[in-house]
Amino acid sequence: MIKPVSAFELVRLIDVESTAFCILVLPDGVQRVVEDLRQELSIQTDASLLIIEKDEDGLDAVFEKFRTAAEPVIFISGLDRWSDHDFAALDINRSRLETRAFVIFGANLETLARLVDRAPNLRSVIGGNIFLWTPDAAMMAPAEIEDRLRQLREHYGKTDAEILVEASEGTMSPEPQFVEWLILLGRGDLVG
Amino acid sequence: MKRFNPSAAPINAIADGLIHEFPERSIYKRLALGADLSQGSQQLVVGGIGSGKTTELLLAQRELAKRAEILPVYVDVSSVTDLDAVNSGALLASLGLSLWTHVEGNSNVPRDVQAAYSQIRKAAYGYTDVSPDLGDFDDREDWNLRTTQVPGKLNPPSSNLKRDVTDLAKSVGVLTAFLKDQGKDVVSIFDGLDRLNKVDQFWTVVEQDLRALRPLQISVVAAGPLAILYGQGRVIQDYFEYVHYLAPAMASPAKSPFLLDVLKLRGAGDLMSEQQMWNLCLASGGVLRDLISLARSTAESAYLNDADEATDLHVQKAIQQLGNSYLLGLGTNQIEGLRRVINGDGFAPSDPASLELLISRRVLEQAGSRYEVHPALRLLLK
Repeated sequence: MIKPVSAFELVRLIDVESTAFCILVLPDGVQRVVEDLRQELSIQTDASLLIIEKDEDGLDAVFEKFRTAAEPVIFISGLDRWSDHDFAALDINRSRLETRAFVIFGANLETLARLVDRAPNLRSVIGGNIFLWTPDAAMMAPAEIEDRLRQLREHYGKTDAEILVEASEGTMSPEPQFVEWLILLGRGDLVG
Repeated sequence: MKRFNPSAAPINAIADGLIHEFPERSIYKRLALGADLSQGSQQLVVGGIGSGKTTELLLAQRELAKRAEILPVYVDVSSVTDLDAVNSGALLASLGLSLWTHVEGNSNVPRDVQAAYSQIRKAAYGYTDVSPDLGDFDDREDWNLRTTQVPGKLNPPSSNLKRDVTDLAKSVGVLTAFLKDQGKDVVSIFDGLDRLNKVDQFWTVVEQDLRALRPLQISVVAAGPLAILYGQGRVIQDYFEYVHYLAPAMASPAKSPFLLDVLKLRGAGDLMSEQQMWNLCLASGGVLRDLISLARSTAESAYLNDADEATDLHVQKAIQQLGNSYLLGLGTNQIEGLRRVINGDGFAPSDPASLELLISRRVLEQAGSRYEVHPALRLLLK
């Protein structure tokens, strides 16, 4: 199971480590994550966030953005549109990503698997820093939590009790949404 | 926690005194000695990802710099050019540019040396060539020549040096000759080439440049990929005077204190018990960067739990996290293959798929041609 982190926790790590690479598995849209991250960064630190996406100018432009970046936190978005060759090229040129920034690769599970498989050098420096983005239940209003739980129950056709049993027995799917489900139920202790 | 950063530049770790020099493992003194005593020799350092090749190259540079008559020039090729799209000549161009930084400070740099640098700059960054515009040439038919390349009957044992590479080497040679006159023998250290995981990719990038450097009598030390040790890579080994293999360290502290000392030097003892450090050493499989990564993950978990000391659960989670990073991206067939290795059915890196498992460090080579599944991954596959 991938280790879950909330925006609060991730920014605490950014604050204490300052320079590192990590992969953030995003169960939902990237926009919400970026907004939460920006907000948390502004609360805990003064650090600004730079979003980098690969456009039609290709990887060279990505490296150039890294070279000129002044922001201490860089979020690479849109990785699901990268080809396997892009990941391999990124891997070979890993040194060009070393800018003293905290670098976050935002990816869904499928893209994460491609990234770590095609970029073994990058995977090596990321190490265990692969996190699953989860909402910070303590910061959510009860109605907001209940609304999200209702969505999950309806989508997967399961009850909270069934999920808790599966998690306890180790049969729960590793899909990020199920981890989110446990977190929202206040049972993050059952993750992993 | 900054002491446990697997992405930290080794040059900073050396400067901060975080490198544990272990005579039985370190090769940098041998590299330095080889470069010094066998001038013009070409040495290759091969090892798996995260085995500490860059650290050894930087330590070799530091060792060589102690000798007044030697100028060691370290070039991380991957940081100055796109290795994915690199052409022959990139090593020479990056070396030439680095050499110039040692030349330009001299009060009287001869014109031929300045001209050589100018040529190197042009080769490195490109230039615009202005050719005469033939325009509407009336007798165009006279220009309609047809040329046909007739190949020779004898194939050269290795490909000929390209003219632009030869020219570039001559320019680099002018700079090294100038430095030699100043009492400095150049040793070039090329890092980053090990990222070219595939043997043919690596050789395509380096062959022309290394061969062009031979006549210049510049000692060369270069990092190469682990795949050089296998299959067609063995042929490439023959090209080098020395090939140094940086194997995974002995993981068990009962057999070697090296990894435990690495953790202690970085202050892990302030956070975790001796037994917890032992567990991290064993789970690292002897891969240095993985050991640092495991310590970092343990420290992160403790920090996020506001704990002053790591618990066994923090260590266990850290090992799981690292194992997960190896598990992700594996297909069913690969997982089945790894399970067979765990069950003692053996492993042979004879085909590309098996080699891929070695390159990605999911399988680790051990002493005596033994192979084992990375311990952190093995825990998840059992």
